Amino acid sequence: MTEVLIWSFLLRLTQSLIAASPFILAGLIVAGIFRRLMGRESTRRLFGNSSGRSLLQAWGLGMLLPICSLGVIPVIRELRGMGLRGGTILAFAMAAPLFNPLSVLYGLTLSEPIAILAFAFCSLIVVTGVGMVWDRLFPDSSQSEPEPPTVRAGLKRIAAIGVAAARHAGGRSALYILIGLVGVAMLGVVLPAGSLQHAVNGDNPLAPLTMTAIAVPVYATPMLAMSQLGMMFQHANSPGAAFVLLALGAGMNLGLVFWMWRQYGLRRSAAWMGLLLGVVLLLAYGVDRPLYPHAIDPADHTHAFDIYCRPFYSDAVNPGALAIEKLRRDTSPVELYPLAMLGLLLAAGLLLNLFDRTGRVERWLEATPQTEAPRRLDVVVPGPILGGVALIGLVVASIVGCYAYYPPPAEVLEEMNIVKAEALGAALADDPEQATYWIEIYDDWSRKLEVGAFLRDWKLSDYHRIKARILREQLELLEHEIEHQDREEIQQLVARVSRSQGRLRTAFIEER
Amino acid sequence: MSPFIRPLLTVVTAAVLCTAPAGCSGPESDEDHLLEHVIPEHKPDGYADAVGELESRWTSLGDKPAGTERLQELTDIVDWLPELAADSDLKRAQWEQVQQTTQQLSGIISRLQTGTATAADREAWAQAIAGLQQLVPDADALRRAVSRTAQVPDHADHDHQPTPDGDAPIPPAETEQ
Repeated sequence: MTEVLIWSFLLRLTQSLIAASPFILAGLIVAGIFRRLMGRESTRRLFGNSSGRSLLQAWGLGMLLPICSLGVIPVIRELRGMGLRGGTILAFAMAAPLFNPLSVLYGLTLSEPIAILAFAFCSLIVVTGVGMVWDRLFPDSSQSEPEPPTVRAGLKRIAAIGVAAARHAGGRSALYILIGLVGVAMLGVVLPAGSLQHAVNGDNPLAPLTMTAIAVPVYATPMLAMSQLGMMFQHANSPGAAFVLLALGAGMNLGLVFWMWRQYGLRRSAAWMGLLLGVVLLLAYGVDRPLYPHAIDPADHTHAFDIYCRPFYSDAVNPGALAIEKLRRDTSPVELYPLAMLGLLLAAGLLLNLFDRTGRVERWLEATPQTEAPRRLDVVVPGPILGGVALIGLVVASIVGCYAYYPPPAEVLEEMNIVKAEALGAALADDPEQATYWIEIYDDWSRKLEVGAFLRDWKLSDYHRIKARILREQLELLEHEIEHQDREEIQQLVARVSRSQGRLRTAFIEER
Repeated sequence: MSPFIRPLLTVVTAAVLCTAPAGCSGPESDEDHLLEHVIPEHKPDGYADAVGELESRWTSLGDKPAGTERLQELTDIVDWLPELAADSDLKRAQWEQVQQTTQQLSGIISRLQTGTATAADREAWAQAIAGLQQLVPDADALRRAVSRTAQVPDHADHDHQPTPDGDAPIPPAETEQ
């Protein structure tokens, strides 16, 4: 049993780190840009200084930037040093991980897109409402550090951004991020496998409360949270619990809670958490009935939260080998690039923080004059303009990334054909492990198909939504029959899935 | 104790305490962990079956005020109609016709819930069902095509095991649902 617990912890920690690495990288870069390019004044202006609209601006910026609740940590540490009000910082910290362009697009193709719009509106109420009350209660929450001297234009300014990002990656920010990761890994130890499958059923009035109890240590990237919402709506689970998952699961983690405590003290942090939990629960119960998907047959369970529970049952044999195999299979090579880059930045940061505690590198970057005399046609672009362009570039890159991540339907359908053959072949060959693995990928591609079509047509008809939903429902039924090892049912479902795939192709290629 | 450690321990302990109740139960092995999707008994097997059910259940309501349960089942079948139609061979325009008819039928049922059906409702229901029935042959197009192929003597002895590579033959006993 101990072996199961240890490997569960390690597997969940590693899975979360891999999922988080691109978002943490984005957060480190944004922190460097705020510090070295934007500078204090421009950043404060971007966040509305201490004006009434600062909370709204923080929410808007958070919605646009592709950062998760771990990646936001270096950014809010920079904002804290710049003297922004606590409410604004915490509002940004909560809003940034909830949505990004990629996840909003994904969300809009769910069977209940109105739910995503409602959730976005509710998140605005949560962050602005809680932030406003908190700022009223604690008006003197800001604190500023001395502003670092500016670095002159050129390569050194770019290097200064890297140094700032590396200092975060190998310093306190990394510690807070680690605490967040440990939080979600601990859930994987404490919660037995599959123990949350019935906890958020649509007819369970305690579902939002139950979700509140586990959501704070939960870590979910914006995309993961959105796909979990999709699964919850597909199973007619509690929409209130889904909102709690988005607001607290994606928006918070233990590292953030701990940072808040360290920065604002116990009383203020408790007030924030109390207000936050109160408003989130109130909204969750408010949307629970109106957003319930009545057209869907309740499934009495969901697999959306299996990834927060123990990955193995207590009778698992050789969990170490299972964990390594699972990691090897579930991690695509593309996911390793941001992880490697994060590793490099972490190593650089550790070296800097260990061997240059006094900031000699920064002083050299700040003080050494440029050796080259500027040429006549050289134009020195002010840092804040470059910073703004870099931030807009980050947003644009994430939008362009959408088109790469969600290919056109014809390409997706080709991929789906390959995955279908693998999944159904494994199902017919009595290979449950392979079948389950490929069915999950198949399900994922069916979602990408919808988003890909939506991105190119800017609409997705009910007809196309329902065709994709039917395929997913049949895939899930097949997964259950594979668990039950009912051969006759498996054969019938294989035939049904094949037919649904054919209809899906006709719908998305010939009937768009 | 370092000022960094105390809050850390408190936060972690609070998190563990919050999640501990959920950790006390749960399946302990793969065998304990079999999940089902419960399909209601009154859910029709396919589009054709649903249209038949709508007709017969409406007729059985007659002029009497409908009981809550029977009305609820009728409502469910109407709500399932778009899904069942989408799980058939109907084309997009035909499916959209079904969706439109579903809204019309839902309107009639909601009026029925507040009283008895009027003559106009009865007429509208009959017309809607007639429209849905016209689509039944198209909803079943693929299966009928496969059945025709299966009747050709040269192919009669072929193995009808479904294959994962696309147009899988359908076992004769399989229903649309």
